[in-house]
Amino acid sequence: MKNARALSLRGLSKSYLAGQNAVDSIDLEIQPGEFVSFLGPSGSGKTTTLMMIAGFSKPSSGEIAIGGRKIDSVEPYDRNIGMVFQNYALFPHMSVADNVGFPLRMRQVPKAQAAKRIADALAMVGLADFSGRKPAELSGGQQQRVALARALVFEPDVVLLDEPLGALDKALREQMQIELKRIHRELGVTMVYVTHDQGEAMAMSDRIAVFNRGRIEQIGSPAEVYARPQTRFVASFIGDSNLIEGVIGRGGSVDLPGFGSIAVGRGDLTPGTPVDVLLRPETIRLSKEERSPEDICFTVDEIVNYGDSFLVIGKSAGQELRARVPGLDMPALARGERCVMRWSKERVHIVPR
Amino acid sequence: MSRSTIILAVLVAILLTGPMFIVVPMSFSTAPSLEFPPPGFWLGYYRRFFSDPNWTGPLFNSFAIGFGTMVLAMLFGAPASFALMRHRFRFRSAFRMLVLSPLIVPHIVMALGYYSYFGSLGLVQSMTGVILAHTCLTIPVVVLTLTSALANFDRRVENAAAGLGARPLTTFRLVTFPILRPAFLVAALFAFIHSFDETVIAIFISGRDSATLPRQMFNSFQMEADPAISAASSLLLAAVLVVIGARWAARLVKPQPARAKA
Repeated sequence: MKNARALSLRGLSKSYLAGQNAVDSIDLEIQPGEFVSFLGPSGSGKTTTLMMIAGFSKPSSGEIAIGGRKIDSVEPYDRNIGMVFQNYALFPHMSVADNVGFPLRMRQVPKAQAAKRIADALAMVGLADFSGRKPAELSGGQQQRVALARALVFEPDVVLLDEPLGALDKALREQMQIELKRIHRELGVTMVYVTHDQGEAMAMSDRIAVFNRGRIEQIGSPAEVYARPQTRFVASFIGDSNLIEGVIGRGGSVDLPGFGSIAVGRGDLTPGTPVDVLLRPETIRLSKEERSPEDICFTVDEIVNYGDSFLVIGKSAGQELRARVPGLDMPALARGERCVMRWSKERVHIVPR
Repeated sequence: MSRSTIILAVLVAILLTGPMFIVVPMSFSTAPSLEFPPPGFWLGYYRRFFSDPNWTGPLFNSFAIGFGTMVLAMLFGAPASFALMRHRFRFRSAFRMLVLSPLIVPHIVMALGYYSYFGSLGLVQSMTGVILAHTCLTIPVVVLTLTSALANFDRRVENAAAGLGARPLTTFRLVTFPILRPAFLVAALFAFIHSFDETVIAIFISGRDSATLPRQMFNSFQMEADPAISAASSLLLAAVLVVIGARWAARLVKPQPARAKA
């Protein structure tokens, strides 16, 4: 798409009360055509940041630029940003076609050309036959598609999406995720997507910015933030996790009380530094056969069957651990039973404390 | 609900609405004076009502005053409603109290005030005077209707319009006003009917030439008990019912907020 633009936030802050920053000095460079998710719990500042980009909320300090143009003092109606709201915010008194055509009308696009672009936009979201309907006559998923078509039809520099799938049920949400991804691929427009659903962020993003208490704790590809979280918060917020407290030992190893010493090749950390060790539940394997004296004992407390996999909650070396075992690999275990746990040491990740 | 409660409710309803069912049949009565039950039925009093200048004059005055009041009350009430709902300013709650105070102050007190105040301005016995007094009385009705509509108004559609390129006035014209149109209509109709059937102030400050329908009915009742008064009452009642019906209809046609149904 010709007008994919970069979006950069520099030192962006917002405080509602003196001394308390809802958004605290955010720095972020989003590449043209990139799909970036703002992921975080409610109140982490992700929506406030989005509202500042859209121009509905004024930054207390810092600057926002799109394609190199500073837009801090530009009114929302002159920013050329497409936005999809959580509740869709369709105009209830206008037909689907008039909703989608609204931004074109504001830009004085000639009627014939506008009609073609509206039709194209509706076709793209699979609503070609719905142009005459009113929003109230559509389902939630269909309304969301209209809102999306309306945000895309005027070829905005950047598209912002504020938890757009939050009100949809699971199956529809997954379908919309795939479709949003397709649209993003086809148009190549820069998209910023706010969500508190880590699965959604993982599934769709080129990069995820993890928000916590008004700051970005980590920004990286989904694989990166999942496998190599930089903070305890990121490790626990994204995916299911076991965090074991340990201490850096000699020669780049880490000592875990009760679990022994593991070579992790982190010679960069000073011996004696306390750290957390991230052990993803799916990297733990459970077995009833003892093989070596180094095997670690695991006592099963609870087993949850998810169909495709089992979640086994138990204790090892006095610490509660969660293991995710694929259904086919699940040994016959019962509550209270003791077994052996193994993990692949190369999957272990050190989180600084 | 027990049977006795239902009976009680029906009795109360009859007590409340009974006068309506007396006045309306009387207006079609052949009796030369107000008499119930009517000895026979005809349309003579309606014919007299619509041909006698003593009635048509006040009827026209009431329409003119009601219309003027409606326009003025909307001009003042609508901006006041937006200010109250959307802006934080000093003395905001005091301002709300002031705007709504005509609801609380007894009409007779206000009427006396207007009588002496308008007297020195030369506005007594003029249509302008009645319109001004009615406007003041009616602004609370407009403000109450519009503020409650604004409280339910989702401002994100305005944000959406702005984000799509609409300047504030365009947003109001194309989005805010059309969505709130039923509320504006109801507020205007209420303003009109509030003025149309207002009696106390009309008696004090509308003169012979600017007499409103309620004032003329009051006069007529005191003097001669012209049975045309029952025709006037019935018409007044019909007007009120039409407005209430319009409000009910407006609720039926009000666009439902777009909800996620998935």
